[in-house]
Amino acid sequence: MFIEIIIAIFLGCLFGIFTGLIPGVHINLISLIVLSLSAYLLNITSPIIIAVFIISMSITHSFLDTIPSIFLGAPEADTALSVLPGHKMLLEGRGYEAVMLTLIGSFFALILTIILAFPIGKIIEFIYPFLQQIMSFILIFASSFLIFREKKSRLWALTLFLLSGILGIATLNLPNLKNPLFPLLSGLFGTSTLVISLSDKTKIPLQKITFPKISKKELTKIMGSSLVAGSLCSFLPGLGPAQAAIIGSEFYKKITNEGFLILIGGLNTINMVLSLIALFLLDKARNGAIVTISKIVEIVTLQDLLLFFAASLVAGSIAVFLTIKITKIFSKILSKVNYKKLILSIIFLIIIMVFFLSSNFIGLLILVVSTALGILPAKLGIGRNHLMGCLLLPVILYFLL
Amino acid sequence: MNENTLLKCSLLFSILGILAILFISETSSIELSKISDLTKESIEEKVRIIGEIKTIGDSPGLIILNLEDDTGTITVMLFKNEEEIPLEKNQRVEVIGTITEYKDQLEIIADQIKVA
Repeated sequence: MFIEIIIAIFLGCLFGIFTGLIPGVHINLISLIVLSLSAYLLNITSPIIIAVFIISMSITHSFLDTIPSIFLGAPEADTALSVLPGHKMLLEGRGYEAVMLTLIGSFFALILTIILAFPIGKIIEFIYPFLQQIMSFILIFASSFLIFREKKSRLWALTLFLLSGILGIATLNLPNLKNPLFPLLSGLFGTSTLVISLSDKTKIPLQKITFPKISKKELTKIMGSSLVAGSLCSFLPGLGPAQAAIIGSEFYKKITNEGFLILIGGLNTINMVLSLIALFLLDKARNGAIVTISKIVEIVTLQDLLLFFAASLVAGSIAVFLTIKITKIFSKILSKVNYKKLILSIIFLIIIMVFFLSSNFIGLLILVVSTALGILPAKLGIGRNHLMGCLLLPVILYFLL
Repeated sequence: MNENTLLKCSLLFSILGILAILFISETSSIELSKISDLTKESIEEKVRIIGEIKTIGDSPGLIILNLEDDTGTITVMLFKNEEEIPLEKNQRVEVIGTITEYKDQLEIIADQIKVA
């Protein structure tokens, strides 16, 4: 069994490279494919090994996905907020530094969250029954807080939240549309940013390979903020790392660009690790990968959970090495490639994938509409996180009605 | 902190993780149990039993087996999937699953089932 676990970890890391680096390809997609193949896979291996594979892939993905976010301006929902400070650093020739900051956040968040998983989980388990009764009000409050916090234009923030919410409701209720989240989220957070990068005619300067300097005091404060915000958002449906980043930055005033990147990196990983605790303690699945695990492993025992944590540690450590190496490669070649052609290729790839995964043209329509909507925050100068209304509003209405 | 420090930390934690996995996999290999060994204290534990299928019940999404070995019988719940192994009465099978309790009776929720 030990050898099987190690093979699963390495395969998971390999797939994590693929999902992490290619914009628009999310671990949820691969997890869905694994679920559909589970009947065949369970004839050759056990549910726990499949779960270890998915977890390793998710952890590696959470480390690597800021690379396309920062270097290509092609984030997912979870890394959308990293684009602005990360892209600024990229245009200063400090793209490598930006990714290393998110890496530091991811790695230390992984260790801290594993150590503190049970105390955090027990606290959440204690308050969750109460939280569940007022879930819709918490989500309404969180959404309102995020909109109110928007200094530039609260009206536009509310408008975008509602528009994306209506789009989300419409998309999720469309019959005969497979994988509705893929065109929706790819358009809102992926292709929209790519289109903006194209229209801005961005020219990437030569990148320096320098490791960022960060004080232990700042790192400790940021890790504390990310643990608090990440813990809350890991258990609340509809609130992901993007919203947690905004909430987390409220706990730490005067957060620098560099600090914000560490926060974003940490939150993605915290979300994944605490989702495992949520599955164990509350039998709740908070993301696609965990949903797949919950369907394959009927009951997660304490021993299974400890194994998942150990596998996360190994996968995270491998991902540190991979991230450093891959980021250096990206830094060296990015200023040499034709950026416009690269962006166009990625957009084309996403279109092809939407068409095949959705199995009809409605998926492409959703991609176009969500891309158009996704462009608005950048052009209006407001936060992209309001587009998470596409998931928040359906969840709020689910709890209310 | 610099790049080498980060790499050394990750190497250290990967070794710790691998040791933890080794320990868990060594202590969690599931021994073969007899049905009479299973008690309410075994609830939520993973078990492995071998027995003969006495009855097969079919319901939406679920196959319910009555498994018998030389010490007793137990109900096994098997969730249907698209490619399932063909099951027949009096077939000898190995089941790996988790013990649960339903209406004061012990049952096994099967993770794996194969011909013994």
